[in-house]
Amino acid sequence: MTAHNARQRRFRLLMVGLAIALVATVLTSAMLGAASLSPGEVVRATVSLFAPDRVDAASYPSWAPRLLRDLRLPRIIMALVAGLALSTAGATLQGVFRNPLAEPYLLGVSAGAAVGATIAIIWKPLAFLGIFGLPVLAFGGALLAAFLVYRLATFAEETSSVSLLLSGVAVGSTFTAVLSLLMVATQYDLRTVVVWLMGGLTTASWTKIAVAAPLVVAGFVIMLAHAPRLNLMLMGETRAKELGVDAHATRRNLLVVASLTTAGAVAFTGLIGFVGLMVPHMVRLILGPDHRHVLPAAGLLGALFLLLADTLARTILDPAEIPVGIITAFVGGPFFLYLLRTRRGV
Amino acid sequence: MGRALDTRALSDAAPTTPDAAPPALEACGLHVRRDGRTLLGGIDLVVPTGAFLGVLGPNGSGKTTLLRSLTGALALSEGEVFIEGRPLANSDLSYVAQRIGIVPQTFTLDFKFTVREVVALGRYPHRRSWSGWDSGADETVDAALEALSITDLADRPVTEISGGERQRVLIAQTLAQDTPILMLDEPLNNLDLNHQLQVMQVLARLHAEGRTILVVVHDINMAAQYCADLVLLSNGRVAAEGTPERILTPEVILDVFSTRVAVHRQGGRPYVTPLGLSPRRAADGALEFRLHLITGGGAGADLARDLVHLGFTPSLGVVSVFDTDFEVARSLDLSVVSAPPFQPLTRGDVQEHEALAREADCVVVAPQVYGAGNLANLEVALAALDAGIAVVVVRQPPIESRDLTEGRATALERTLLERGAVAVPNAAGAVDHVCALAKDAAAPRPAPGPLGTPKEQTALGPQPEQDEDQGA
Repeated sequence: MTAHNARQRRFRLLMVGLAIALVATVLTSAMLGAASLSPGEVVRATVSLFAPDRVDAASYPSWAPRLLRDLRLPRIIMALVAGLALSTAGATLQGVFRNPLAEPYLLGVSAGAAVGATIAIIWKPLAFLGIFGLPVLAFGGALLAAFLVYRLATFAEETSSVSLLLSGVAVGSTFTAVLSLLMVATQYDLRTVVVWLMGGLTTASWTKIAVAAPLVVAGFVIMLAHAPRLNLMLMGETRAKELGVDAHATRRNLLVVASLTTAGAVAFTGLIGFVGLMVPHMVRLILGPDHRHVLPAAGLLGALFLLLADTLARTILDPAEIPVGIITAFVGGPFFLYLLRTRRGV
Repeated sequence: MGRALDTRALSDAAPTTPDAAPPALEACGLHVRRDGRTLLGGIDLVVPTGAFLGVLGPNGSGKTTLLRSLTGALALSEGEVFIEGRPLANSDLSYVAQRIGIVPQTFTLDFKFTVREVVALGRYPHRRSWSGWDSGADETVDAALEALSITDLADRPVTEISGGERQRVLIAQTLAQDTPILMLDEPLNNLDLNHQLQVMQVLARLHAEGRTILVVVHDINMAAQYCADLVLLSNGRVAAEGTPERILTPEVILDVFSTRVAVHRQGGRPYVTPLGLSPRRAADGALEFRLHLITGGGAGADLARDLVHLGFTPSLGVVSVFDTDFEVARSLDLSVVSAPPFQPLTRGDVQEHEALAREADCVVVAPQVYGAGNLANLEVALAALDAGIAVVVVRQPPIESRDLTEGRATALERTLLERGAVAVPNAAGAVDHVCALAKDAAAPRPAPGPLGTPKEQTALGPQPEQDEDQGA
């Protein structure tokens, strides 16, 4: 009873703490950049975007509202959406594979999405799909990769870390090879694609958010609805069935949904690795493995983490900018090694 | 066995017995075949509501397969299963999970749930469509933890407890499922004796509450002590079913487990003791062949063991309490005429011995040392011979070296041989000869009427080694 209640309390505390940290980070991120703003200026300029009459126009620089509207806010929101998407997709994949090393980037799901997205960018006949071509094809690629890895890595319901990682590397490399081939063959602007591949939020826009956010949020809601079932799946599909869970449908739904949210992120931000690995792991260390706690907390922490990483990415070498994927890989690579060495009962 | 199938063939509809509510579980003609191998070869089973049924059988006999096919976890090649009269095939998983709780042999869980959280997962079939975040506070979960004495472990991560504790967590999880039917696949694995008893007592209590219990048990005695009924599986078929008293006989167990056992009673229930090593395959006819071994002073101990391992159940006489032969007879659970040590046989001992010898199809005389006290043993052999029973005499070491009766024993042995007793040089020879007799007794039965008793056939049967041995 006590430990259970303690976990409940810790969950609520963590959620509140994360929410506060998120607001603070959003504010900070909006302040920082080539032209700095004070917190008050950020708030007033933002409010003026919605209700120009409510704030004194002299209390903030005249360019601030446009800067926030066109550059900083879309970028911040895209970071939040992508962070939520990648970390919850990671948590879900870890549950489905019953292995804490599963992650969209490491499993090649992100690479699959990238191939889909690249096809959407460079194949002219698809232009009629407009901005929707990108996520649709990215989703197709991600789904293909996820099911390939599942088929390859899972024998008799067991997914060993070795087979999982090997399958992920194999599928991921294959998709990356396809990606390179596509770029060379079509002589597409290589620099653009390479930068996109390294993961970046530079091109974030409201239009992209309007496409990605509903996908990611819908995926997140479906994951939450599956959380109790996902808990039972951790004991194996046979046991889950004995307790009344349609394990096949659950696994299928969750692989689809994890691919969907991954695609929603990758299509517009490129390949950002390790978020889905680190964030759920940290959350489990604090809250335990119950997905009803892990998914919401990982969503918040993932959003926070990616926003921090992106803010760092665009300020650390100011005025130059590093792709945010490099930052996450810098932190995530060593973390992954640490997990490989120590993982036991997460 | 065929009865359930027949009624099913007549009425395709719900399998209600005419008089009462449908049984908790009913299996009709279950066949499971995989890769050309038959795992279940036509099982019909009716488990009435409130039954406490133990499923026994050697490894690979299909116990787990049966359990898994009864819950729909395994696709059937043929046949049908009904849960409380409803066809399993048409039932959805969550309905089945509300009716049947299953304890599998193992489970893996590498994520750091606490014991309480794992047990609470068993509540899943009963949860409302969206139970919110809080599922841990539940009396059923507390009761399940309590029943298996793991309340102390409730807050420990399930990844950090011992195998036996995990086993009890798994059982508690299924108890939390709170189903009218429970199926357990070797729930005593990994458990200490005290926890084995605890689990069986929990099952007995659930049975008393009116739940239906189906349990696969390795330990025959555990099953015999607690289960009201047993089913013995062998090669994917039902070899025997009924109360422990009825089906736990040495014959059935030898048949199913290829192991010779003795069956005692303990607290009104059968108690099965394996007899020494597992036998070489029982010699032909050995089970039915009645054998009496005349011995004493340990002379026949090895012979008795050899015969038992071949499937014979010799009686022994007359044996002094505390001598080697007596101990062997006791450990092998053989019937024995015994007498106090260091005293001449009384009239009563001899009569009892003679009665036992006359029951036999064959009497074997072990190379014992004869003194005044046990000379009557040879007289019993002679009486048996005269009654038409085959008598085999082991001659090494020579009778002269064992005769402390001034030639009377030597003379008696000579008389035995003259009247047709078979001489064999040693214990091995005796075993060979007895096996031959048993085989002959078992094989030719042209008219297996009640009149053709084995005894007569043995007496008339050929005795191929006789000439050769006597010439030696």
